[in-house]
Amino acid sequence: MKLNNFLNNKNITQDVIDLDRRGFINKFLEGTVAGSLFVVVPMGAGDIFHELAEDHEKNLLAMNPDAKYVFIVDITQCIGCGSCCVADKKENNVPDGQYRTWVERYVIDMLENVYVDSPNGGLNGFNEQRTDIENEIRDSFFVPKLCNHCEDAPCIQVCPVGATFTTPDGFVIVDGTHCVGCGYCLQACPYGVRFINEKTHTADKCTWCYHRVRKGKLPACVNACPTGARKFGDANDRNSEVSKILHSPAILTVLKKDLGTAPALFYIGKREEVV
Amino acid sequence: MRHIVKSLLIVLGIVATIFLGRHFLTPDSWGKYGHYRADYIDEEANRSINYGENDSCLKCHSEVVDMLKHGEHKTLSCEVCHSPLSEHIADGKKIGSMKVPTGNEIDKTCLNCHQKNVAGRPHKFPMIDKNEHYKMLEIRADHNCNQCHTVHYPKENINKAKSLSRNLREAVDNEAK
Repeated sequence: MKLNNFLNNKNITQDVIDLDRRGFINKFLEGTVAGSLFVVVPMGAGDIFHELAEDHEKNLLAMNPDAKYVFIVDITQCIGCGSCCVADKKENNVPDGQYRTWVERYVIDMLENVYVDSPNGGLNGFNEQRTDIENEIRDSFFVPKLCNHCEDAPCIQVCPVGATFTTPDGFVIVDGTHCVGCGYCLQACPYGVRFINEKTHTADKCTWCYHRVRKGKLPACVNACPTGARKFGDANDRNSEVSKILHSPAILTVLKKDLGTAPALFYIGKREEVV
Repeated sequence: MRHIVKSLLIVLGIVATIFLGRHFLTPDSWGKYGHYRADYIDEEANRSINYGENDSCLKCHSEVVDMLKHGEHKTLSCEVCHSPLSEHIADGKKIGSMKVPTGNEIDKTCLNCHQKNVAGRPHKFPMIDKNEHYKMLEIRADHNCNQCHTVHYPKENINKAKSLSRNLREAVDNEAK
């Protein structure tokens, strides 16, 4: 309001001249100091006030910064049963109507029309045939979707408060206690995996079950998958299943490769129609 | 001279406010690894888990898990058809009963994966049209899948019946010789 009055006043020069020293300093301090205090001064590493406390709970595995965790989804194995979605929902207490992971059904007909549906995110499975497709079906398959845990994640770049970040072991997670719920990351994510959690009102997304991995367990969806369509592991561990797949002749693709986000989620058997 | 001291004091005051502000407003672990609160990593990692793994079930239900391991359903997780471990066990004690599908729920559970004619399923995956299957084998429509297929070892009874009839056939053939 003050600023508006100030700007609308045509006789600005006179207004400034009229100020005495105290008045000028007051005006100057009003905005500048408050603004510069926490924005201009970089907050970060090397803070002299910090005591770096190191205490891990006993049941947690130490972070492994040498690991390169990857997730592989084998589309040719997925049967669309929805077990992964149920496991994910119950493991992470995801509110109804929101999904950390979901399964899409792609149906492509002979005229190259592509039909995609995902009733209730695939939570109840896909037990009914689609009846709205007139032409003969050429190809159909299920595509499970989840967070890509990009190496160069757009959602991290846009977060104004540093609430989302890549952990030293490569997981992209959201600090719910720090998030202000601005929703900027929701727009930045090219894969649409983020949402504002109805219960916490902060950004939320799949963490590849970081809390399970650090306890030496597989992500809930990988554990629940009956056909082994979802695989998870450390690509730098030569004995892991994912490492063997990555070094096999299997064709692995990622979603929206051209965006340069370098996802750590790979697909086997992904058709070119999948976006 | 006085005006220099005054302005220096103001600058000092501003610097002090900045450092105090940083001290109180920056979370303790901020900047340990990067531009974020490092403590959250362990907070997230310490979140309680709801789903165990089949080995958790093995501790008490060894016969069933053992059976599962030898059958066609060896890749299944117990908690898919039952419910998460956290609804059953807390701090090593039983706190509630697991969901056990009965009657038509069993058929629904089976067909969730094995329903035939669902576009998208890989063709090599065993799928069944219940009505067709019952009609072919002349089974009463009100029967459930588990009356022939043991849910934890689907082909157990079928294989036993097959080997019995094979043995019988061989015995009859030998008799004829």
